[in-house]
Amino acid sequence: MTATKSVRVEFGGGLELLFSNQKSHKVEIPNKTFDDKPTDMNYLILWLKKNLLREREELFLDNNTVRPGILVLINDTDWELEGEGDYIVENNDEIVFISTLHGG
Amino acid sequence: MSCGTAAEIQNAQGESVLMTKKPKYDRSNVCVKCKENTGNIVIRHVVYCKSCFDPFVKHRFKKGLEPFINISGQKKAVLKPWGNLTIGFSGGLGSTVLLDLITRCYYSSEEVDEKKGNNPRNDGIWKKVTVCYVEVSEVYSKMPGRTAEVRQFIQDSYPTFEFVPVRLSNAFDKRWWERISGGPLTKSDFAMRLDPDLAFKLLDDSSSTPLESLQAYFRSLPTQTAVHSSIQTLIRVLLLHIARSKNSSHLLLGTSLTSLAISLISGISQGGGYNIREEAQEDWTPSLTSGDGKERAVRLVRPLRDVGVKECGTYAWWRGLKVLGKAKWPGGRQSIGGLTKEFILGLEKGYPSTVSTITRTCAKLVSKDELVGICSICQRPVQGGLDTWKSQISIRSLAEVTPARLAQDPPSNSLISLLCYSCQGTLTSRSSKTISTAESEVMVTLPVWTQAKLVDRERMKGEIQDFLIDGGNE
Repeated sequence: MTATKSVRVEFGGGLELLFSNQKSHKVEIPNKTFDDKPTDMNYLILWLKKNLLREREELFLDNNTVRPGILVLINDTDWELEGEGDYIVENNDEIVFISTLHGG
Repeated sequence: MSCGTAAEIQNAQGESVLMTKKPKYDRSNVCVKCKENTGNIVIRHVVYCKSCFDPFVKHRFKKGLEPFINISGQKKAVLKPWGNLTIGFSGGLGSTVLLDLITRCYYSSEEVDEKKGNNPRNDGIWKKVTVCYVEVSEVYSKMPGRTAEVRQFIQDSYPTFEFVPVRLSNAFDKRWWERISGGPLTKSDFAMRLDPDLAFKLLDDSSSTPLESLQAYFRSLPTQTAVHSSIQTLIRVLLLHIARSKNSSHLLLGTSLTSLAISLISGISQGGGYNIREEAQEDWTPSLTSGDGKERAVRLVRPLRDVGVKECGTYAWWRGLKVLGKAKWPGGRQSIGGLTKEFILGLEKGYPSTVSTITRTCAKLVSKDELVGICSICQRPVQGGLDTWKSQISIRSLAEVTPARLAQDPPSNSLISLLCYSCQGTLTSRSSKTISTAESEVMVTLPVWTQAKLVDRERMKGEIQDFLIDGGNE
């Protein structure tokens, strides 16, 4: 078993501007956290903050999770159906973060 | 203890146990519509699959629009507006989704009735569609304009719709006004002083350009909240005038359920409670009090008022729509609107049904005060008995609270009687930090429609002057 898993992360709705203006990223994250638990969405969000986020952290994060107004899709499914931050990230998962904060 | 979140709690024996997280959906994760597919999205505790989500959004959109297309009393099976359609486009998520839905539901061959073939209801309900974008960058010196980008987007994505750009400074442009409304204005400008009486006068020297007038107007506003609120008001009134000039029966805005809840709460907190129904939908004629009844009202509708920002975002993503993004106004986060937005978005994340409760509750509100006119700035109803009510709720010094003072009418050169409570507050409510007294002494040019109202009033005064009885000779 490899020590990392490959995840495709996409940003939409203007959120890509915080991530080097790049919409799609292929990232390798560890299989396990430092306390030997499988890496979940909570871990991925903080990993993105540490490794990919380039500016204005407050527009992406709030209390160590995504801020209100940002939608998260895991393999095209609302993360609320998958357990939100507790979802265990699988190899080759596709995670999408969409900002809805552009107004009407 | 919070509800629905994982938290450490203590059981009867005093041991710490982990409270399990409550799912965000009511029953199973199977779609409530088709009852076959595994769900893809949760909308206010209800699960939908991707295939059922699209018809769900379209249904909500049509439900928010079609009952308001015909003027009341007409048969609802046939959708027959009396005029054209104007769509306000900001570049934001809501208006992007709105344009897509309008095109799909009424201007494409996609909507085919399986039994009857192509549905004649959907054969272009409005003869002509205009998409209007209001450029707000002039208010802020460092904000780049986006008209060219928006024009390109509309021309590429919706080539059959006419694109009409408007600048916020058009609100102070007499030539634009005369072209759009045909109503003449005086050569000099009417201007007001942002003091408690809101005194106005005709300026001797009116050499400033519309842009200078716009910038002076916004520089003089007392708070950030007033700046943002005034931008929104000017945009809405400009759009209404454009809609009227294009002979439109309807003006559609892409306000989502979430944005509407924000506007409602923010509007109430700025004194706009009397106009709460207009915040959701309004029928507008240029001058209600002096109208001869021939002018038909432009109906402003927000068809996405039952579609939350989550549905809009997911719809746009799954449809692959390009969202240009709405221009961010500096200082927005500290205004009442900005703080309300933060509050509502947080509420929607934890308690999504509460946001729709806000809009449904506001839709039931009815004011007991009668309507006495239309506000000369925001063009919304003005409630009767405003002066009496204000004198009862205001905290004043004892010297001011004398019967003689309370019985006094505002001076004849005061705008107070022509404005709604919300606009009065926007122009005069001062923050101790944001403005110096010197700035409040400056006369600022009024928006063109307010000037037109004053011209009209002065003309009427002149006509009836000979018939007035002098108060002293009574």
